[in-house]
Order: sequence, then structure tokens, then C-alpha cells
Amino acid sequence: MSGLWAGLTLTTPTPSLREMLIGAAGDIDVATGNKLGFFVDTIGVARATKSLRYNCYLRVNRTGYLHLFFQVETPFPGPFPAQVNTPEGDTYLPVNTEEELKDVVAQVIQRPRTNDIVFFLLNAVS
Amino acid sequence: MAAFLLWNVHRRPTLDGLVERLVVQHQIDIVLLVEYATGLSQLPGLLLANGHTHIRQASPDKFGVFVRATHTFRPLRHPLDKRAKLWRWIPPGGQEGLIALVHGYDRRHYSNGTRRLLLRHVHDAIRYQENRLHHKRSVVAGDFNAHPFESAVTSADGLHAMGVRSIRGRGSRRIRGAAGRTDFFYNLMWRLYGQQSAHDAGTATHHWMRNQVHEFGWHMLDQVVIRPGETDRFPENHLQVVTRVGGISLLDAAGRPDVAVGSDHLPVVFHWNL
Repeated sequence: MSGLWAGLTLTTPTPSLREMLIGAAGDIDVATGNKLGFFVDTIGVARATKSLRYNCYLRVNRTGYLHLFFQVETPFPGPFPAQVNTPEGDTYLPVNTEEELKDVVAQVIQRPRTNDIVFFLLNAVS
Repeated sequence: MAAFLLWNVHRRPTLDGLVERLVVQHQIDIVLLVEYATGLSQLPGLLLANGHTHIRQASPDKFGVFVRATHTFRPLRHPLDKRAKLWRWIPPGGQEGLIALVHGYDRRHYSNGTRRLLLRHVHDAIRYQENRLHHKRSVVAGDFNAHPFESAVTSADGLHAMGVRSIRGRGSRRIRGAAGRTDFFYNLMWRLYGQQSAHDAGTATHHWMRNQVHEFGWHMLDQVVIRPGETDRFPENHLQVVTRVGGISLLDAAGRPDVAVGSDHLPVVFHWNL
């Protein structure tokens, strides 16, 4: 007897851009002893959604204080090409794969400015 | 020349980082925030870190006023509502000015007459201080909750700020039924309507649309007005409504303030070469 689940294929679904971002930068909680977290707020742009903005925040877990870290804008449904923007105005080429996204997020994280932000959040806000 | 940032931050401490970036990008000396989240915002620390020397000044709770340490800001005692505050500002050059920060009563709950009365009191307070300090180097900035063309802003029994630099070469005018001449302010904000290319012609600092017969959509609520004598020291081409912070747009796809990332008001940057 074949059940209704017989046709189920257990392939891994393609991760969403949000999951890719969390995969790339979400381990800040481990790096900071769970003092800081990484939070992604996904917003549709325009009434008939044509693109998505992923506002990526560093969050002070104890207080919920949010600091806009960077923003990723993609066409809808996307997820690529994706454009990474920062409040500092750093320029990055559009990314087309998860690997490229990881590379750009790594560049954002490795800026001296990121160190300043994390230091401030850990020392002044936590 | 000192640079000023005026922004209604909608009680959102998440805008701290954007304010700090605006300070860097526009080399801001004086930060004037309306609807500031006192107790939640971390700006007092953030604007003293990473090379910043902007110190928060005593002000009503809903204001966040941060001044570069090389400038002096002295609060002036005057019987005003908590929605307005006056300071004596002394920049490094030594010549002092008067600065008022105002958050007008909101349009939904207060009549034009009530909103006008607050702005009239602000003008009265400035006139008193100008007489006491013997100069007319004054600026009023804030979220007035009134358009530049509404009576609360334009009328002589309101703020008395008009879109003209002078009338027959003078910064005062005669008003029927009133004795003597009455000083007015020059309102520069008229220039900024529709300044964002490719967007609505009436683009301003705040967008709010309901379904009444009479609607504007865009509202130029955030304003800076000056005494006409200061126009030469107030470069109008340096007055701007800001729509980007670095790579982050403060507008949504329709060109309106994006509250998801910013505030429901756009920031205003201006310079005063005192």
C-alpha cells in the first residue's frame, strides 16, 4: 500500500536570503557571549511589491536596542541580484550567489567601523 | 561655518546610528532632534565615541540637542511651553546668535489658532531676548506642525515668517491696527518644495494623506526661519532635505519617507556662517 507521503522527496529547500544573511552574520551571539544578536527585518517595497529590503540590525539582547548595520535590497521574489548598502556609504558590487553574499557580508564585518560599532554596543549599551 | 541637523526622529532609538552617520557625512556641529527618545536613545554615548565631541544639552525631554564641544550653548530661561526652547549659541568665532527649537502642536488634535498661539509665544520670547541681548541674529528651527503658508507660520499674530527677505529694504512691516512696525522672519523653506528630482512636485519633509476633501499629501512641517538680516550668512544652496544616509535611502519606492528604516519625517541640514 502506498501512502500519501510516498512522493515526498527530502531535498533541502533553497535557503531564503534572510536565512543566508543569518547564516553569514548570525554567529555574533556566539562571538559576544550572547550579548549581541543579529536581526533581519524584511520589508516589501511599494504597494505592489517589486523589491524587498532586508534591514540588518545588530541587537543588544538585554535591552532590545537596535543598530542598523547594513541593508540588502533585492528584486521580488529574488533573491538575486542583491545589493548591499551601509549607512557609511561603502560600495559593493551586486551579488548573485550565496557565496558572493557571504563575501560581501564578510567585508562589512571586517571594516574597522564594525569594530567601533560592536565595541560601543558592548560597552555603552549592554 | 556651522552645520546644523534638524530631524524629527519619531521616538525611534533605532535611528541613532543614522543620526551619527549624518553628523559625519555633513560635518554637523549642532544636532537638533524633535520627538527624541530620551532614556532609550544611546546618542549621548554614541556622539562622544569614535572621535565625536558632541555633548547633549539640557532641554525638554522630547528634544535631543547635541553640540560640538568647541561651541557654547546656554539655555535661556523663558516661560515657554515644553514644546519650545531657546539657547544663546556662541560658535568658536565668538559672535553669538539665538536659536529656538520648536515642536508645534500636532495638526490632528489642535486647531490652527492653538498652533499659531504657540508660535506667537516663540516669536515674543525671541523678541524679548533680542532686545535684552541687543542683536537680531536669530534662527527658529523645528517641526512646526504647520505649512510655511499657514497662518500659524505666516501671520503677524503667529510666528510671522514669510517667504520674502525684506519689504522695501526692511525686516519689519506695518500692520493695520498695530502700533509701530513688526519684525518678521524670512522662511527659506519655500525653496525646497519639490527639490527631490523624479518625485512629486510638492515634495517636502513629511507625507500624510487621508481621505478628506482637502489634502496636501506632502507637508513641509520641518522648517528653519531666520531674521532677514542673517540672509547673507545663511547660504540657501546649503539648505537641503536629506534623503540618503550613506548607501541607505530614507525613501520608499514611491519616494515617500520610509518609516521602516528611518522616520516619518526627513532630516533637514542647514548652515549658518555666524
